[in-house]
Amino acid sequence: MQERFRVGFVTDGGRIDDGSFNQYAYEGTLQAAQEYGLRVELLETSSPAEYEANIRQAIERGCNLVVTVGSTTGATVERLAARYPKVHFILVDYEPMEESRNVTGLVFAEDQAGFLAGALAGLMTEREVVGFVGGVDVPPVRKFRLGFEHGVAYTNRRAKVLTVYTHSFTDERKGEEAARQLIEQGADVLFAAAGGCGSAAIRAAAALGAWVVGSDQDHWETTFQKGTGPGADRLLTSAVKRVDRAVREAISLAVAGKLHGGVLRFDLHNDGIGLAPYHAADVAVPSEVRGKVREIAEGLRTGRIRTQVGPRGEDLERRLWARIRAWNWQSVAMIFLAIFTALVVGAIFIAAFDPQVWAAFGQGIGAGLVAAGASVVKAYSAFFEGAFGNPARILAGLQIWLNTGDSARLLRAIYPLTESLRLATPYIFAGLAVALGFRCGLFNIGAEGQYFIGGLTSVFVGYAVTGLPWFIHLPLALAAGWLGGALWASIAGILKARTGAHEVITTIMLNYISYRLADYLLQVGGPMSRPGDSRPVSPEILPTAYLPQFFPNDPSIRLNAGLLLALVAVWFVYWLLFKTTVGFEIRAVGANPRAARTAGISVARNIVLAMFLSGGLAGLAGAHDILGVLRFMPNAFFSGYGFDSIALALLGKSHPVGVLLAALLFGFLRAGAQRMQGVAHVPIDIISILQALIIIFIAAPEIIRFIYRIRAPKETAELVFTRGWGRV
Amino acid sequence: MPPVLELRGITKSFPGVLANDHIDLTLEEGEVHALLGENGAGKTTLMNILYGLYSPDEGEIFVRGRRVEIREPRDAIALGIGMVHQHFMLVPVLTVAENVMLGVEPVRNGIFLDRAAAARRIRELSQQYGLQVDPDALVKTLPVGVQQRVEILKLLYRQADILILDEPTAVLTPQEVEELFKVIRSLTAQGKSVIFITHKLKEVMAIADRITVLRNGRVVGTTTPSQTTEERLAAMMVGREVLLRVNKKPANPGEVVLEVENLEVLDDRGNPAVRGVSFEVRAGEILGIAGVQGNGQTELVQALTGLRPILSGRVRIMGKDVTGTSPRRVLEQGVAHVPEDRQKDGLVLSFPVAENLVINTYYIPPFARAGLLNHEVIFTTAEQRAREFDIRTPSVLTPVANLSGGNQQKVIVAREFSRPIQLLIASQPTRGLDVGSIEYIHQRIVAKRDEGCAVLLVSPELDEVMSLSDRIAVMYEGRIMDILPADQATREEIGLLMAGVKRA
Repeated sequence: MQERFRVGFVTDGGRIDDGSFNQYAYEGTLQAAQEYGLRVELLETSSPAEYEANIRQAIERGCNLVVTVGSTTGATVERLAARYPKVHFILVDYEPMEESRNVTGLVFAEDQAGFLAGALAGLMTEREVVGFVGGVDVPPVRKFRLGFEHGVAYTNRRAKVLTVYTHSFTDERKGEEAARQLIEQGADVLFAAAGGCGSAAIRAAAALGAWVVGSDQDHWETTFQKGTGPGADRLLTSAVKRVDRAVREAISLAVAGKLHGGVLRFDLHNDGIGLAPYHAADVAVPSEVRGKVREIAEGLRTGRIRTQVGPRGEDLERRLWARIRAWNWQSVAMIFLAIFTALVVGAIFIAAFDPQVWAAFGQGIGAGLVAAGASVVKAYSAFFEGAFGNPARILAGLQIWLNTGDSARLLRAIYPLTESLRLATPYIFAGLAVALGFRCGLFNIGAEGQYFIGGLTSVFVGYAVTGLPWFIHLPLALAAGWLGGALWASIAGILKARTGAHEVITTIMLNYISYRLADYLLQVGGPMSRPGDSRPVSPEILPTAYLPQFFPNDPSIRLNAGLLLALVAVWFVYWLLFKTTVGFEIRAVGANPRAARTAGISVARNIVLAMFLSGGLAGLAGAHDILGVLRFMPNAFFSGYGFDSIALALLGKSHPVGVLLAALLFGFLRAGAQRMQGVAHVPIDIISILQALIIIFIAAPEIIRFIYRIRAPKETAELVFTRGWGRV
Repeated sequence: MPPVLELRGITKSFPGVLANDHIDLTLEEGEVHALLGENGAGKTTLMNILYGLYSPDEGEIFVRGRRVEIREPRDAIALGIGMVHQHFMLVPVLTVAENVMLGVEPVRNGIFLDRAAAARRIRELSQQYGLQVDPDALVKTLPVGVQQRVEILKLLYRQADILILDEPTAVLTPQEVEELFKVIRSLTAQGKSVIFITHKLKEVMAIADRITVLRNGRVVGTTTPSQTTEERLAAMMVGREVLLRVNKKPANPGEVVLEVENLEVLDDRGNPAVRGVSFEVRAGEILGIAGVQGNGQTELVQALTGLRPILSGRVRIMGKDVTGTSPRRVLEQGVAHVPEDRQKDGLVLSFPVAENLVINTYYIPPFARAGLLNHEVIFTTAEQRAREFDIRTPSVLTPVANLSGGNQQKVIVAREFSRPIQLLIASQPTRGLDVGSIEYIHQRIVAKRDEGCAVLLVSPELDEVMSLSDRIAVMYEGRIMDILPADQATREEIGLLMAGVKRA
C-alpha cells in the first residue's frame, strides 16, 4: 500500500531537545506517527537562513505534512504554503494571517493559563505584590499577561501586578535582572512568559526566595532539572501549553482527512492548556487555595468565568471602554438640550397666543405672569395626555382589566399612546430613508414623492389583485409599496450618477410629477378611481391586504403591525450600514467620495443603490399608511412626512437608532398637539413651531452652546450630510 | 538701537494645545531671520499673531522699541509688517500694477485712478530691489517665481519693512529659489528685515543670518549658520538625532513591472496634461519623477491608477494591459497608491483609524466574508498595524481626523504597505510631514524596494527625488524631458530640465 502521509518536522531554530516547543511538538509528532504508522523526516535548523531551505528539502523528500513551530517563522511558512498547495503545514503557536486550506495554526488559550496562574498568585501572595516578566510583546505573551492580571484581580482585589518586558526570549541576564528588579519592588510571586529568558528569571527569583510560576511547559522538568535544580521547591506550578497533545491531535485530523486549514484552538475545555502539578510546593499550597483554583478552572472550562482577553490578546474590557468613549456624548446632550430649549421657547409662544394672558396682563404684571404660567401648564399637560395618555385613567383601566378581564377601559386610556406610536411608524420609515441617503452624502428631498408612489403601488396591489390568501396578498402589497418608492428614487440616483444632476433638484421635480401622476390616476373616472364615487379616491383595498391591528376588538385603535415592521427596518438599516460591505461602501462614498473612488469603490453604483434603498423605505411609509390606516388612497394624500423626515434624520444624526428615537418624539409631538388644540385651544401649528425650533437648535449648535455655556469640542470631522451642488 | 521687532513671552493656547509657549524672538534691521520648525511647532500661529489674525494670551510685541498692539492685519500693515502667504493672493486676470495697487489705489483729482503713478512707483521699486517685474504684464501669464515677486512688490508698495515669507520656496524650481534668494539679499542690503519660515534645512543654511528653531510651541534655541550644521538643526527640530540621508544599497532591478507607452491624458478642463509619456519601472528600483508642481504629474498618477480616463497610449502592469480599467482592478493587480492629497483622496477623515486601514481591502477575507464585515479581525489587524507602523492614536476607533498629519500618513503607509504589492505609486509621500516622519517613510519605501517591489515616486521636492530614486525622470509641461541615472544627475542639470531647458 502506498503511504498517504509522510511527515516532515522542521525546527524553527532551536534544537530538537530544547525542552520547549520544538521538543514537545516533536514528541507529539512521534506519538502520532507511531499510532498511524507514518514516516517522519526530521530537519534541525541551526540558523534562520537555513529554515526555508529545510522546509523545501522536507518537501523534496516527499513529505506532504510539515510540522513546525511558527511563533517567529509563520509568515515565511505562509508564503511557502502558497507555493506548495499539495503540502499541508501545521504551525505550532501561530495564527495564520491569510486563510488557506493547507495551513493550520495551532493556537492556545494562554489567557486561560495565565488567568489560573494569576488566580493562584493572587491567593499565595502575602505582600500583595506579584510580578510578571514578559519577553517580547507578541500575542501569546500578551495573552499570558492580561490573563494573569485578570486572574490576580479575580482572587485578590488588593494585589498589585508589576510588569517588566525584557524584549528578548533568549537573554538570560535580562531575565535575571528583571526578576531582581521585581523582587526589590516587593513582588513575592513571579510569573514569567519569556522563553529561556523567563526560565532564567524564575530561577533567579526562586533563589531569592519568591514563589515562581513558569509558562509554556512544566519547568519542574526543564528549568529545575526534574526537581534537582536549586530553588525547585519554590516552583508553585507552570502554566502549560500542551503542544504535544495539540500536534498529535492535528496529525490525527489530517490522517482522518479532516484537516482543512485555519485555526485549531486549544484551551481548558479540550485540555490544550492547564496548570502543571504543584510538585515540591504541594505541601505549601493550602487545600482551600487548591480548591479555589480547581473551581476557577472549572468556571473557565464551562465559560462561567471569562478571562476578558480576546483571541489575539486584546483586553476586552478596555476595548469596551474605548468604544464607549469614542461615542460623542456631547452631541447626545446637545440634542436633549435642544428639545428642552424648544419646549421653553414654545411655552413663550403658547402664553403669547392666549388672549386670557393678555387680558390678565392688562390688570397687572403679577396677574399676567400667573395667567401665563397657568396657560402653559394647561397646554403642556394637555399635550402630555395627548401623547402618553392620562396616567390615572391608565391605572384605573389596568385595575378593571385585571379584576374583570374587561379591557375596554384600559384600551380607551392607552389610546393616546397607541396613536402616538401609530403616527411615529411612517416617521420611522421616512426618517430612515433620509438618513440612509445622508449616509451616502445624498440629500433625498423626495421622500414625500416616494411616499406617494409607494402609496399608489401598494393600494393598487391591495384592491386590484384578488383571490389571494392574506399571507401572500399583504406581503405582495408591501413589496409593491417598497419597490414603487425604490424605483422612483432610483431615477434621481441614476441621473446623479450618470450626469451629475443634483438630487435635490431632481427629487423635488419628481415630487411634483408624483403628485400630478396621482391626480391623473385618481381623478373621477381615472384609471385608479373608485367606480361610481364622486370623490377622487381609489377603491378600498381587500381585507387580505390589511396590516393586522394590535387590538382588533377596538377598531378605533389604529396601531398595527407596521410598527413591528418599522422596528425591523431600523435593525436592518443599522445592520446594513455598519455590518456589511455594502454599508461600508455607502458610508465611505458619503463621507469622502474621492477617497472612496481612490480606494476602488464605485461611487456611481453606490449613489444609485443608496437612492434605491432610501426610496424603498419611503415607499414603505406610504404602504403603511394605506394598508394599516386608510385602506384606500385619497387624492389629497399630503402628509408632510417626507419633509418632516429630513428634520428627523438630522435630529437622529443619521443613525438608525437616533432616527427611531426622533420619530417617536415627532409621533408624540403630533399626537399631543391634537389634544392640546382640543383641550387648551392652542393652535396645532405650535407643534410645527416646536419642530422647527428643535431643528434650528440642532442645526445651529452654537445657540445651545451659548445658552448653556458649553465649550466647543476640539474640531473633528463632522458627519457630511450632503455636498455642494452639481458634483458627483 | 532697538531691534526692528521684538516678541517677548508670546503665549497662545487653543483648547488642549499650547501652540506658543513664552516665545521670545528679536529681528534686527537688515537681517534674515529663519524660523525653523516642524509642522505644528507653532511657526504659523506665531506669525498669525504678529500679523494680527490671532491675539496672544500673554506677551508683548515691540516694533522699533515701541510697545504695540496688533489687533488686525490693518494694524500690522500700518506698522510696516507684511506677509507673503504660501498660497498667493493675486487676481490672475489683472495686471501686475492693478494687483499691487488693489486696496491702496492712488487717486487723481479725488475720483480717477492714477494708473500711471502706480506703474511708475512699481517700476522704481522693481529696479531698486532687482525684482525685474513688468507692471503691465497680466499676472496669469507670469511664471510662479515672478508671481511671488509681485507679492513681495505688494508689500514694498505698502511700505512694509518687516517681511514675513511663509514657506516661500515650496512652489519654486531650484533656479527660481536662487533668484528669490538674490531678491532677499538685495532687500536686506537696503535695510529691510525678513522673517523666513521654512522646514527646509538647506535653505536655512544658505540664506539665514540667524536661525530660531521652534519645537512644540517653544523656542529650542537660536543660532547662526556658521555655528551649526544641518544635522544639528534637524536634531533641534525633532528633539533627537535624525538620519538626513537615506541609507540604501544600490538597486537590483529585476523584471519590468510597470510599462507606460505614449500616454496622453487630459486635465479637468480638457487640456492636454500628459503628452506622450513613456517609461518603465522594474522590480527592485525606484523611479523618481521630478518636476515643478502642475506639470502633469498629478494627471499621470491618476491615469496609472485608473482614476482618470486615458486618451491614448498603453499602461501595462506585470505585462497585463490595464489601460482604462477601474481603480479597483488596478489595485487588485498588486498596486499600492499613496495619493498626493492624503486628506482628500487617501483617507475618510470621519472614519476611525481601523476602517481607514481597510478602505481598499474591506471586502476581501479575512476582513469580510459573504458581504459581512468581520469587525473583530478589522479591529485586531488595526491594532497590530498601529503597533507595527507606530501610528500614534489614542485608539484605533479614533476618527483619523483627530490624528496629526504624520500619523495620518502612517495610516496610509500602513494600509498600502501591508498588502501584497508589486508596484508602489507614491505621490508626494512626505508632503507637509515633519523630519522624523519623513525619515520613517523614506526608510519604508526603500525597504519595499529591497523586497523587490517596483516604486514610482512622484515629488516636487527635488531633495526627496534625488535621495530616494535610482533613476530620475523630469517632467515639464506634460512631457518627460529626460530620464537620468540618479548617481550621475546633478541638481543643476535636473533644475534646468524642470524649467524645460534641455542641454544639447
